[in-house]
Amino acid sequence: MCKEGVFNGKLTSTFSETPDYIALEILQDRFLLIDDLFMPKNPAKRLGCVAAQDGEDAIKRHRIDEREEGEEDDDSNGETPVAEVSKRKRTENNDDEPTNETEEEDEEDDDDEDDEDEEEDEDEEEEERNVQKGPKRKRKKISGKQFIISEADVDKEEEDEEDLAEEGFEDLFLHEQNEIDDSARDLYRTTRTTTSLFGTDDVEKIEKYITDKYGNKNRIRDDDDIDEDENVPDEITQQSLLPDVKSPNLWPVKCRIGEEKLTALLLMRKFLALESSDNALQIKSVVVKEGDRGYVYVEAFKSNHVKQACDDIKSLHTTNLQMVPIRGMPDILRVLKISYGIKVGSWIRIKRGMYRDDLAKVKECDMAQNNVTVKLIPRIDYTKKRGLLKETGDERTNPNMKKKNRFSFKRSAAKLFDEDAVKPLGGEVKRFGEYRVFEGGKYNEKGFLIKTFPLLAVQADGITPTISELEKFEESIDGPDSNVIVSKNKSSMSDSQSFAPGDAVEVSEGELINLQGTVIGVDGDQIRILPKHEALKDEIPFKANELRKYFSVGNHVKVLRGRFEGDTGMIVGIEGLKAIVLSDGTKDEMPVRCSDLQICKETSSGVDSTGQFQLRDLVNLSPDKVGIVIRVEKERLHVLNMDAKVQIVPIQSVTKRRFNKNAMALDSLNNNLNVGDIVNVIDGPNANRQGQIKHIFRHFIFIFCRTLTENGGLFVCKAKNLSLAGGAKVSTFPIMASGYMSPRIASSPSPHNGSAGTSVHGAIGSTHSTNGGGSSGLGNRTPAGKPFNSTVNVRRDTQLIGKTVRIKQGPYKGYVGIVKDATESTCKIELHAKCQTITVDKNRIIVLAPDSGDASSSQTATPLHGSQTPGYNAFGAQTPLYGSRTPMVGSGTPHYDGSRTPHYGNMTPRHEGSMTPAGGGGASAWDPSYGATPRVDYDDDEPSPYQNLNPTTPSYSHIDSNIPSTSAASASSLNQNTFSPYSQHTTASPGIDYQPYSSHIPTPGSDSYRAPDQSPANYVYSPSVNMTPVTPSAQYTPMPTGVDYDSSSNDWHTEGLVVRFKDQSDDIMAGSTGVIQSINGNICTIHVEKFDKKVAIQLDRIEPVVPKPNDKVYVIGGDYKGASGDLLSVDYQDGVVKLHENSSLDDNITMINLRYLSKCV
Amino acid sequence: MFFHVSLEHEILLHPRYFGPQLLKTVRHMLFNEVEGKCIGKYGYVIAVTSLDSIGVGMIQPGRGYVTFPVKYRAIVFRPFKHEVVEAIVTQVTKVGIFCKIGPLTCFISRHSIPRDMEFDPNANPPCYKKKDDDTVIQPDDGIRVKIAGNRVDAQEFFAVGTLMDDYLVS
Repeated sequence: MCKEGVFNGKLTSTFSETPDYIALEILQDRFLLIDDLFMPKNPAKRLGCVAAQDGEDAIKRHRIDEREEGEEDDDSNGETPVAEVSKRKRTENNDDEPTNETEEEDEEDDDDEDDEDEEEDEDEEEEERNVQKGPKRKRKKISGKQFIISEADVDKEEEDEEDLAEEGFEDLFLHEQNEIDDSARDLYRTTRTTTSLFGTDDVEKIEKYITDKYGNKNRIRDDDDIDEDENVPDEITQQSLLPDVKSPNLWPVKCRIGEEKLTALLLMRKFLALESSDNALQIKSVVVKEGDRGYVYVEAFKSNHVKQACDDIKSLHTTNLQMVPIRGMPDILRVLKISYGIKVGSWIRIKRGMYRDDLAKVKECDMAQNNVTVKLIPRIDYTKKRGLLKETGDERTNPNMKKKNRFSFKRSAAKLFDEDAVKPLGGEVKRFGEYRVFEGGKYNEKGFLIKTFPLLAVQADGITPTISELEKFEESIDGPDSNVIVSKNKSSMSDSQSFAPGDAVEVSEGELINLQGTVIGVDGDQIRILPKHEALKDEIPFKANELRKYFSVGNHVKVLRGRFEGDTGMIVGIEGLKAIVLSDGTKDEMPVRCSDLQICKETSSGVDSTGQFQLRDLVNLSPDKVGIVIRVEKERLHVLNMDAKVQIVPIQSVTKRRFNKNAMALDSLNNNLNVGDIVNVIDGPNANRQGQIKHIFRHFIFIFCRTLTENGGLFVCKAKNLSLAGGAKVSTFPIMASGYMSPRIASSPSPHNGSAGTSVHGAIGSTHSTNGGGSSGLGNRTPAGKPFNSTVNVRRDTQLIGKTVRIKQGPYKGYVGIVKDATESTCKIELHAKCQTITVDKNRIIVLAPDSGDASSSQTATPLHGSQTPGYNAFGAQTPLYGSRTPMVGSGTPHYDGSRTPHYGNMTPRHEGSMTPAGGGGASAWDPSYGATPRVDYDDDEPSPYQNLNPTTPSYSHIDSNIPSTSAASASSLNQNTFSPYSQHTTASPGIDYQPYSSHIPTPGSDSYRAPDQSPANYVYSPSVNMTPVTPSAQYTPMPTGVDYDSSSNDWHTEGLVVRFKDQSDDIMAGSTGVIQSINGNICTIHVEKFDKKVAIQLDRIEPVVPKPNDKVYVIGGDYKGASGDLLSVDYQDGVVKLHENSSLDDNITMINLRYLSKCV
Repeated sequence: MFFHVSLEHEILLHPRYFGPQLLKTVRHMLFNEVEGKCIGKYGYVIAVTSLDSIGVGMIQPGRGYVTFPVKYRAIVFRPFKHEVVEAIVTQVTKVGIFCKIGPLTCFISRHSIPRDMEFDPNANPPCYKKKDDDTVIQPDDGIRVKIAGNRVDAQEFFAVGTLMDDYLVS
C-alpha cells in the first residue's frame, strides 16, 4: 500500500501532487469538515498549518520536524529539484539520527536489506529508500483518508484492483471519507505551502514554484497520459505494477464470518489511533474481499506486524498465519465481476438463512446497493407466542443470524402470511402503505413476504422452479415477465444450440437492435447472420444472447420450454415477445414467448413426457371415474371427465385405461354403438353435433367432433342421447378399400366352384361383399352361430371359427390359416400355404384380428361349394356360418336345388340376373338380348360408385320374370331384399329382410335364423350399400357385359355409326341400315343408303350394326369406348380390333366383345 | 394453386381380378385410391385426367398380389403460403373463423382478423362484424383469405389464414 510510485517516479509524483491540486479546487467546501476531522487528531501538527504566520523559516523548520516524525514527506516531490535534493539530504540525516520508533528502524532495516540486494546505483537507491520511507511514515500519521487513497492506488499497482470500488457500500463510504481526507490534507498542506511561499518576498521564487507545481501537475493529473507518453502498452505497465519480492506480503487472517468489513474498519481506527504512538501499527493495508467470507487480508512485511495489529481484535484469529505467495496476490485481489444481472420478475433461490432454497421472485434489484428485493412465501412460526418473545421472532426473519444453527433449526412451514392467525398469538400487525408489517417483515396483500436480501445470499443462476412451487406463487411460468432466468453461460449455450443456419433472427440488443437477418453459420457462441437490410451486405457476427428468434404468422413451431413444452402448432398472432400458437393437437391457442419457440416441421404426437399418455386416451381418474385426455402438458394432463368437466391432473395421479375395442353401448334407438362409429347427438347440451366415438365407458360416450373448438373437439355424451348415423360409417374409405383388397373373395373363384358356373361367381361375390361390409359388426356372426351349436350339440368355440390365425408354436409355427373348427382346447386350421388341415392346440395360435371378418366369409369357399348347388353357396354366403359349418343344411334341404338358387343370388344387391342357371351356362349371358337392365354406363370409368348401383335394381324384375319357379312369396320377399340394401334406409326394417328366408327354409336351422333378426343382423345389409359398387363381382363375371348396352340407352350413338332400324318399328325402314348423320336430343338423323334419303328417328328405335371383319368399327362400350379401329377378325363373340389410337396398348390390337362394336363409316 | 402434374401410383391388386377386366379394375382402383386424397408434396388430387401408362404388374412373392405401377396425370390443388384464395366460411367462433378452401380447412385466428371486426356472439348465426359498415362474416359466406401458413398432416393439409391485408375479406 505504501509503495505507490516506488517503481514509477511519475506515479510517485502524482501521488504527492494530487492532493494539492485537489485542494485548490475543493478547499473551501471542505474546510470545516476537515477541521473537525483532522485538527483535533494531531494537535501537535497544527503548527505547520496554523503557524503560517511564522513565515518560511517556521515552515521549513516545521517540515523538518514533520519529517523527523515521518509525517510529511510528500511535498518533497512537489518541490523544485533543488529542494528535493536538499530534502533528500535531510532525510538521510534524519535517518541517521537516532529515533525512538523501533518499528521505523525495523523498516529501515528492511529497506536496507532490500537495497543490498539491489543495484549499486547510489541515487536510485537513495531515491527509493526515500520514497519508501515516506509513505510508510505518512501512513503512520495520516488518517483514514490516506489509508483509503493507498487502497485506491493499489488498484493501479496491483493490476486487478480497479474493481475494489465495487465491493460494497462500505468501500463507497471509505471513498467518501477518502475524499474528505484528501481535502483535509490538502487544506493543511496548501495553506502551509502557500503561506510559506507568500511569506517570502521573492516573487520569482513564487512564480517558479507555481509554474513547476501546476505546470507539471496539469500533465500528471490524468494518469492515463503517463502511459500514453511513454507509449508503453497497458499490459506492460500493468506488469510493472505486480507485486515483487520487495513488496509487502499479504497475510490472510481468519475473521469471524460476517464481520470482515467491521474488522477492517476497526483496524483502520486502530492504525490511526496508534500511528503517532510508540507502537504504531506496521501494517500497510487491510483488504476485505467481497465474497471471501471469513478472511481479512493484511498487507505487511512481517507476520509480526500482522499479529501486532490484530492483537486484541477479537474477531480475528492470527494463529497459523500464512502469507500469500507473491504469485497468488493478484489472484486474491482480483475481483470477479458478477456477470449476470438479476432481472425484475425472474426467479431466484435464497442461499442461506431460514429461507434457504426457497424460491423467490425478484421485485426489485439494486446492483449499486448489492441487494435484491424479492417476494417469497414467509415462514412464520404460528405456534410461538409473540409479544414478549418478539425478539426471537425478529431473529428468525434475519437469515444471517440463523446461520450457525441452520441445520438444527427446524424452520416453520412456508405459508402465506395469515393476519388472523397471528393476532391471537399476540402478534402486532401494522399497516404500512400497501403492506402489512409484522415483526419487521413486510407482507403484501396476498400474504407474500417482501424482503431484501444481499445479492450474495441469493442464487440467480439456473433456477428452474418446479410447477408445484410456481403454483404456490399462483404464477404461470409463461407470464411475460416471469421468465426463468438462465445463467448467461447456459443460455448462450442453449441459444447457440437452438440457432441453426437459416433461422430468421432479430438483434435484440446493442446498436443494431431490431435488425433482422438470417443465420448463416454458428461458430460456438458466435452466430453469423446476414442482415436483411439494403445497406448491410456482409455477414455480421453476433453473440447468441444478442439475438432472438423471429417468427412470423404462419410459421409452424415447436415449443421448447415452458408449460406447453413439446407441443407444436402454427403461429396465428404475435404480440410483442409473445406468440400465439395454435396447437396442432388440440386446436386451442397457447401464448408462448418467442424465445421458447423453434421452427419445426413435424407435428407433435401429443404424447406426454413419459410416453404413457396420448391425446384422446381414456384414463382412470379414480376407481370409478374416467376421463379423456384433451391436452398433454409437461407434467399435467387436462382431462375431460364423465361429467363434462375439465380437470387438470398431474400425470402421476392417473392411470391409463386399457382400450377396449369391444365396448358397446346402445343408442337411443337401441342400435349398437361401437368405438369409431359416427353418431349424431340428438339431445343434451351438445345436441345436433355429429362426431366419431372415441371411447365408450358404460353409458358415457366420448365423442370427437371436428367442428368443435373447445376441449380439442372432444365432448362427452350419454348413450341415450345419441343416434347412430346410418350411412356415415360406411362411407369411410378404408372399408371400401377392403372391399377391393380383402382376400375373402379370393375364395369365390376357387376351383371348387368349377361346377357352379360363372353365374354363381357373381352371386357369391356379391353376397360376400354384403357380408364383408357387415363384418365390422360381430353380431351377424356370433348370434347366428350359437343356435347351431345347440343344434349340433358339439361344444365348439364358435368365436374362433372362421378367424384367421397364426400358429405361434410347434412345427407349424408361423403358418397362417383359417380356423375350420374349434373345441375348447384345440382347433382345426386350414393352412393358407399348404393344402392341409391340421389340429392345433388353441394355446398355440394367435388370432389375426384385422382379417377376422374377411376370413369368415372366405369360409364359403370351402370345399362345400363344390358339392353344393350354387344356390346354396349364395345363401351360405350371406350367413357364412350357416353355410360352411353345417353341412347338413346344405345336404338336407331339398329346396336348394339349382332352380331356386337364383333367388338367393338375386337377393344380394348384385343384379346379376344373368346368374341364373339358365344364363349360367355363360354363353347366354353374353347375348345382347339377354340384358334387360338399362345399365348402360357400367363400363364407364365413372368413379362414383352410386352410378353403378342404380341401374342394378331393374335387374330384379328381369330375373323375376325369367324364373318360373319363383313363388309369389319369394318374389315379394325379393322385392324387399333387393331394395332395402339400396334404399339407404338400412336399418328400417331389419326383420323383414330375414323373414322371407325363414319361411323358405324348413331346415332345423330355420329357427336359428331368427336370431340375426336382431339389430346385429342389420349389419349384414346396411354396409352393402357402399360395398356393392366396389365389389368386383360384377366386373369379374362376364355377365354384366350382357346388360351393358340396351336399345333404350342413348349414349352409344355417335355420328358416323351404321345403324339398323329395329324390327318392331312398323316402318318400311325396319331392318334397313343407315348412317347417323346428326343427333339432336332424342332424335337422330339417319341417312339410309337403300332409299338414299335422310330420316329422322328416335334414338331408341335403332340399334348398332354388328361389324364384320375388315369393317371399320367404333367402340360403343367397354374399356375402349369411344375408340375407333378396324375389325381384323371375329373370334366367337369377340372381335379382334386394331385400334387407331390407344396409348395403353403396345400394338393397339385388342379383343373387344362384338356387342361393344358398331360398324361405322 | 392448381397444377397439372404427372404422378405415379402403385396399385396392389388381388388375384381375383385377374381376367379380362384387369386393366379396368386397375383404373378404377386408381381413381378410388388417388382422387380426393392428399399427397404431401403435391397437395390434394382433384381429378385424374389421363392415364399415361399402366406398367407391368409384378406378382408379389408368397402372396399372389400384383402391384401395378401406374403413371397418370392429375389436377392437384396445393395451398401455398401467402396465396390469396377464396374460401367458404364453415364455422365462426370467438377464437376465429374456420373456412374451407375446397378440401382444405383453413383457420383464421382472431389475431389475424382486422381489429375493427368484432365477434358478435349474439347474432344468429354468430358472426364477425365491422362496426362502422355492414361487413359481416358468417357461415356460408365466401371470403377472400390469404394463407399465412400451412401444415401437412398424413391425410390432409391444414392452413392458417389471415384477413389482415388489403382487399381481403370480400
